[in-house]
Amino acid sequence: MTDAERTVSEAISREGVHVVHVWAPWCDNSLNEHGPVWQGFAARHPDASLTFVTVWNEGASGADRLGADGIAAAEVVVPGPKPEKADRRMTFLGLPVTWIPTTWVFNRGGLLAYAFNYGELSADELARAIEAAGTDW
Amino acid sequence: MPRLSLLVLLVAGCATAQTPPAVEAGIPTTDPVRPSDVAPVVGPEATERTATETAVAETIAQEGVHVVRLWAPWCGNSRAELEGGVWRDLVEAHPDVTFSFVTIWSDGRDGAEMLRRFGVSEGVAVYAQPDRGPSANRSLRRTTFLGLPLSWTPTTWIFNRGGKLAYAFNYGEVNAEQIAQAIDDANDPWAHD
Repeated sequence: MTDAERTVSEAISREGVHVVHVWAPWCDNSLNEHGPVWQGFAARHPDASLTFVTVWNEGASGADRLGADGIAAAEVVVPGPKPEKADRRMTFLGLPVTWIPTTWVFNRGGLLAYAFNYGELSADELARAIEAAGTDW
Repeated sequence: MPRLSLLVLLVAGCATAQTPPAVEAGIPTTDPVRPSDVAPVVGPEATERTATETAVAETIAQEGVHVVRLWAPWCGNSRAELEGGVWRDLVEAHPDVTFSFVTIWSDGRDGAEMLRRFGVSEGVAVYAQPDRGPSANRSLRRTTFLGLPLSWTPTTWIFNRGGKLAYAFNYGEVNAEQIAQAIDDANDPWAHD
């Protein structure tokens, strides 16, 4: 387990619902979500944590971009060069990352509840996933 | 690029914590794996592959969109969607999509008869994923499938692009709109940088 994975693993193992978002500052599809999905996240979902995992970015932080876009999230940076497109497959916490943006919702002490690995999602879909993950059946 | 549109009526809550007593002889009477039993991260188990996993892996590696449904015949939440016709209708509506129904934590019973009873037979592949011993013994239950974590039944995964995971609904029941939307989005061959 890498340092980045360990940090996120600790965050999601706490009680509650945790959203982990994998992105890169150069990815237009990732940036498309910033306004509609991630701005105002904390106000809409005060009980859920939010962690941005910055990948394929030469190890550089995307905190400036997150700040400029008004996104309040913890950030974890995965080190390493930006790979060629064909090599852009990785796992994080044992889960496949094939596309960015990718968004995962965890609950119940770190279990994966929902994964949206194939690109952009809407604020509505995220809200439904968070709501369902917060249901204790 | 896929854009998940507004989905109505997310069915919250599901299987394991509400599992009814066994309804068929030999079916485990205990709840399936509880969170405390499950490591959230895929472990060494992921490197082993059963014959069922190999067969499903071959299916999802083909061109197109593939739905893998992990369920248990004894689980009321798994049954609820069958009884409601959700899966019968989804299969009928998507002739270009493969559907693999895989039973878990069910002592190797594949549930084919129950699927048929609820109109799910044509155009689906039916498998049983065996545990490492009696399914009643939680510690012997498999908690990954194809390397992905498996904590609840039912669990539904959508694959595309040569076997890549597109969407995972691991936390119990889903509804027809959610799955139909996920299939549509997975069919979208969006370009990317």
